[in-house]
Amino acid sequence: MPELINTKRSDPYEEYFKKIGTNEFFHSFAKGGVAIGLRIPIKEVKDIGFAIKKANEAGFNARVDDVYGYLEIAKYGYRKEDDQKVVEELKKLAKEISKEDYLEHIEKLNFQTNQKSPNANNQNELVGAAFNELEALCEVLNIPIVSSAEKLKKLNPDSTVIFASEHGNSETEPYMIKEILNQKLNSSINNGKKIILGFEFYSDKYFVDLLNDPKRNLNDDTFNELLALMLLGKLLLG
Amino acid sequence: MFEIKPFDVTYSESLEKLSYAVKGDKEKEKEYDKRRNSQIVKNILDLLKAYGDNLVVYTGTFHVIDLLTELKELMKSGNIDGIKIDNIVVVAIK
Repeated sequence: MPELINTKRSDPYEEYFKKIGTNEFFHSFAKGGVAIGLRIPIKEVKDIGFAIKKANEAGFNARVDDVYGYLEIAKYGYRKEDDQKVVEELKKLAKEISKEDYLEHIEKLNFQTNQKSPNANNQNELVGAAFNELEALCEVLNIPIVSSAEKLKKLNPDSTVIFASEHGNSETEPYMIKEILNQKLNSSINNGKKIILGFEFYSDKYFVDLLNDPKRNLNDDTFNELLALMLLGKLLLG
Repeated sequence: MFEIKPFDVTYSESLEKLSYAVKGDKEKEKEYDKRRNSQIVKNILDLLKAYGDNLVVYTGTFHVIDLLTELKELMKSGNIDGIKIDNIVVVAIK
């Protein structure tokens, strides 16, 4: 368990967020849309209940992190064309829900994007903000985070692997998943255990049986029709 | 040898969202998404409890964020029993 970090009231906000292992602010363009979010120390929020209500009304997700003491207000996956509008909405919301001390600080925050817009050659990029969030959480939990099957290979072969997918990356992901499963298969030969693949797909018994039947799972008409409708389909068939 | 364990909602449950979309009920759609996300996190936690060291979980980045956030909460409350956090590795294409 990570040590809870003692923060002082006198810590500047930058120092405070550095101590708790996350960023105060994120704003990035990526293939899945734009993401923006602000984390406000709870002690700087006028009223948490009111803040969450206001955030939801304004179309933002609101999440309280009780462990490290901040309220996160964020919006993910919106259109680039709407960015300026969303920035203004976030600033307005932050001012409405913050105490006096933090208001001045908001004025000084640079709400410009901290990551470049993706181009056609940058198809493997995760939503930047989400990746930052993943990294911060992994750091807090002491969980290693790797970006390739080769790096995974250097870690404990018996690890539980959680693959954070973009759900649209049909160029790289299928090969990575295949490589990871091959690694696990080699490991299972050594330890004699069956590999369990937890998979984000419908959990009806029909699909459970189908997915586990290699004679049927790529030839079933219903399954293939469903895959054709899903963003995930191209990835699975990749 | 592999066994695939899908952990999303059922197909018929997923149609509930479609019914709200057809009606243009954004609020209900949001509620549905929230419920589905919670269900997915719960189902992954069940997998983590049942299969400590021979498990590969494939899911979306935002579900992983929710999962790790929940693990953090469980650690804080001391209810982490059965889950080997120190055995987890996250793979994410940067």
